[in-house]
Amino acid sequence: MAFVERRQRSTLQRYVDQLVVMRIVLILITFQVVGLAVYEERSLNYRLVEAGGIPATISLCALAALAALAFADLVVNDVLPARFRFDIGSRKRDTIWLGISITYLGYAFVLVPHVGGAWLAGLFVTYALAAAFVAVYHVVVDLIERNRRREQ
Amino acid sequence: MNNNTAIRAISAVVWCLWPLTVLAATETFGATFRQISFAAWIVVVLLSGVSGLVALLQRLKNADLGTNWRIFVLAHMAGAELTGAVTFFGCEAIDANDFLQAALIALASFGGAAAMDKWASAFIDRVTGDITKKGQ
Repeated sequence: MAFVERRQRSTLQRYVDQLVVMRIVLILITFQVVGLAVYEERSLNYRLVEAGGIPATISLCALAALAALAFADLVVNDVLPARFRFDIGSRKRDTIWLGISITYLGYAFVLVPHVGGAWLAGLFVTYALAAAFVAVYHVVVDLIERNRRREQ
Repeated sequence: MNNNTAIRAISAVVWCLWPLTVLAATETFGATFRQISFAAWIVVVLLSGVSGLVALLQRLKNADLGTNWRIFVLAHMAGAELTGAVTFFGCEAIDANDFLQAALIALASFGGAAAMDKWASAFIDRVTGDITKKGQ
């Protein structure tokens, strides 16, 4: 049996549905962080990426790509009708969200020693923990579902 | 010398040596330790933990752990935190780029968790193999 069978409604589906709003909010925040880092020269995000050089640019691209994947997964698998499928998105949902979490924690790690960056680091840590929670939540719900199916 | 005597001798040596080891480590790495803030350590612990979670969730998804899940959780988290802290310390010592440090900590923690995953798997196989042999 495949691990994730998102299209199949189950008794636990409502627990997954409850997290959709949180995922939407986190994706919008992530796009906002990327947008600020690219377009808003006065923002701390912009200066962070500017000071970080090539590794910072790569991490920002990775964050944008992960957010785009999470957005595609959300729209195709949770909003559009069942005939539209994005299997990689649903199978790798936890990895995508943990990737977002790791990137945010990387930014927090860079910001912590700098004066004035501590509040933004705290904000990034909050986003990272929320993203990690999304990943763990999905895996735990899927594990419970798998155990229930086996018992039936 | 039987096994118990050998284990007692090793534990006596360890108990005698560890204060000296701590003193030597403080003298050698103390300056680097003092430069690092508490907040930085917290972020390192979180970063290592989340990187370890990647490996742990992959294991949880792909294999049925049954009653052994506690061993796997402990092994993954311990491996990830330990390798993350050591990598961070090494990066601080060579004064690497901050973004590079974060990436290295994340990769090392994932690697550490994956290595501990293999070790935990081998450990469980060995223990369950012994139990099966005794049962026969």
